[in-house]
Parts: sequence; C-alpha cells; structure tokens
Amino acid sequence: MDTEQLADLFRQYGDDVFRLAYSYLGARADAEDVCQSVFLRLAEGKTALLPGREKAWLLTCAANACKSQLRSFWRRNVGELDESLPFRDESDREVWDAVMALPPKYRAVIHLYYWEGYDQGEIGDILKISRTAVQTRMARARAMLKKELSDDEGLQAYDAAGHAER
Amino acid sequence: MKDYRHMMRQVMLSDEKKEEIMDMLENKGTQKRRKPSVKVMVLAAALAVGCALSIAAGLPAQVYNFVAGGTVSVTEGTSEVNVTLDGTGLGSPITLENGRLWFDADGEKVDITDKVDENTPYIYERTDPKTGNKGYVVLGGTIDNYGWAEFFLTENGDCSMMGENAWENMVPIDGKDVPLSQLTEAQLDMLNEDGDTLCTTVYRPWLNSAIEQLGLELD
Repeated sequence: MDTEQLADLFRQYGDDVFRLAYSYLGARADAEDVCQSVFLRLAEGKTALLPGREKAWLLTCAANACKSQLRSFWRRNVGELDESLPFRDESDREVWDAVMALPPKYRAVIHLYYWEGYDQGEIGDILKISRTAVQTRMARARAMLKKELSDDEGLQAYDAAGHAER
Repeated sequence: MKDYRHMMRQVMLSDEKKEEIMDMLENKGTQKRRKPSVKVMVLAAALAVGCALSIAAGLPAQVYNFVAGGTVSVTEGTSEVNVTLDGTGLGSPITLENGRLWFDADGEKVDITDKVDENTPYIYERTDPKTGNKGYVVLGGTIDNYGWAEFFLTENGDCSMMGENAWENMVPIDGKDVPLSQLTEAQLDMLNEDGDTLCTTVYRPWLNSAIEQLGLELD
C-alpha cells in the first residue's frame, strides 16, 4: 500500500478508529495511541486489507488494541478520568458519563451499534465474539443506561429507526 | 435529549495528532510512537506477587476480599475498579504437602489431589466472610504444576480475577510467542524500550474449563 492510499484511509477512517478507541478506553491519550498504532501497523505492511473491508479491519484492529490496553495490569488497576471532554452540552456530558459507567466491553458494542450502525452479526465479527454475546452485552448495556439516564429517548429513537445511518 | 450520535460527532482526533499520524504515514512508520513504557515492566512485577486483574464496571459500591489477600472494590457510579494487594491473606489457597494438594478456604482444608488435573478444575463458591459478597476460587493442575484463580462477580456479571500460575502472559519475540515469565532481564529491557509490544493472555486448560462452566465472559 502506498503512502497516498494510507493517507486516504487515515483521512477517511481516522476519526472513526479514534472514536471507537475513545469510547472503549474513555481516555483521549490512550485512544490516540491506539489510533496511531492501528495505522502504524497498516503502514508497516504486515497485513493486507480486503477491498471493501478496510473500515471493518481498522475497527477490529482498534478493538484488539483496546482490549490489550485494558488487559494490562497497570491500566486495569488505575481508574482514569478524562480531563478534556469535548462536549459543549450538558446533555452530551450526561450521555458520556452514563456510557463511561458501563464496562468497556459494553461500551464497544453500544458504540458500534449506535454510531457505526453495524448489526449484531457485524459487531460480533469486529469484536470477535458471538452474536449471542453481542445480544447479551447490548441488553445489559441498555438496561444499565436506562437506569443511568433520566430518559432514553435518544437510544430508543435509533432503535425505532433501525438504528444509525451508515 | 439523550443522543449518542450527537455526542459522538464532537469526538475527533486533535489536529496536532492528525498531523503527527500523517507525518508517520508519510515516513512509512519509521517514526517512534508515544507509548507508556511501563506496561511490560509492571506486568513482570505483577507476576512476582501473583497477578491481579480486574475489569472495570460501573456499579454500586461493592467490596470483596480475596482469599489470598487483597481487596477489590467497585466505586459507585463510575467505571473505576480498585484492586489492592496487601499481603494479609493466605498468599496462596493451595499448598502441596506430602505429595497431596490441599485447598484452604478460609480455614477449611480439603484434599483436592484426585479432583483436579491439567484440564479439570476444582471450583469452590466462596462467600467473603467480611462483606458477604460471593466469589469463586478455582484450583487446578497437577502436583508438579498447580495453580489457582479467584473471581469476584459483580452484580452485572463482570468480574475481577486474581491468581497464580493460572494463566500466562505471552510476548511475541522474533515471531514466536514466549511466556513473559521466561524472558531475560535484557529482553524485558528491550521490550520496555520499544514500548509497543502487546502481551496476550493464555489461560491454563483447567481455568478455561472453569470459565466455561461458570459461564464467565473474559475478554
């Protein structure tokens, strides 16, 4: 893959990789590291992307990197607060806080469903888990979000509309 | 208004980071990445005391005292999990005496020699005597190679795990996965300097069997 192709992929999907990592890890610096490592791996030419599957591969790679981060002894035992939340509205902060109160593996499922618009099978492929596990995590996450948020109209709206647009 | 997409639209890489990554891509990955260098070193240190792992969960405050010593607590309303290794417990709930494996659960000793092997775990449902919270102690292996793990399950099914010789952290060295515990100091130094190497965790077969039996989900 040449430099221009790499740059195009980064321009096209860089923010999406970052968003998944940010929602997974809840810390900007860690998410930036994951994003960088994903594209570095691509640049090193150690993997071949299937045409049309570039984004799914990048998100899988990002999810794996996030899992590795969470597995590390150091990170697992240190609670992190993100000091640089980018949200302007109080309601956005409320949603962020509620999502961040979920276990990381639930956040990833929520993000891939509500932001990326993947269905449960696709989420399973990206996270390398079964469709049943996706369903379980989704159900638990929703139940927890419902408790946390004063209402869940936003999430319900996407459900009614067949969730997010691609 | 609880709109995940509205919120996420505001989450973007900083211009500075974008520029840095673009530079890296233009140089085809020859640039070094910023990465904490402590990862491998801390894991190595953790092995020395018996690993403690935890998975974050946003739950009401819960406390569990591990049978081997140490405490896990979940902070209310956050995804923060704290694990403290304080050395006040047994150190290890499994001991080898006169060729027999003994499990010590809060004072009660059980001979488990014939109940475990490389693939078969002994699973004990434990109640923390101080907090009343439930956990599981899992033991397995043979008299030559035995280990244990302890799980604390939160109300939502997430868990924290602690153990010894129950899993192995593997590090890729020259294209081959090598147990972290077998690395030389020089190799550890090299990994720390590189800072980018990611460990993978491989559970012992008896632990895998227990995880399956208990229906646990561990990433």
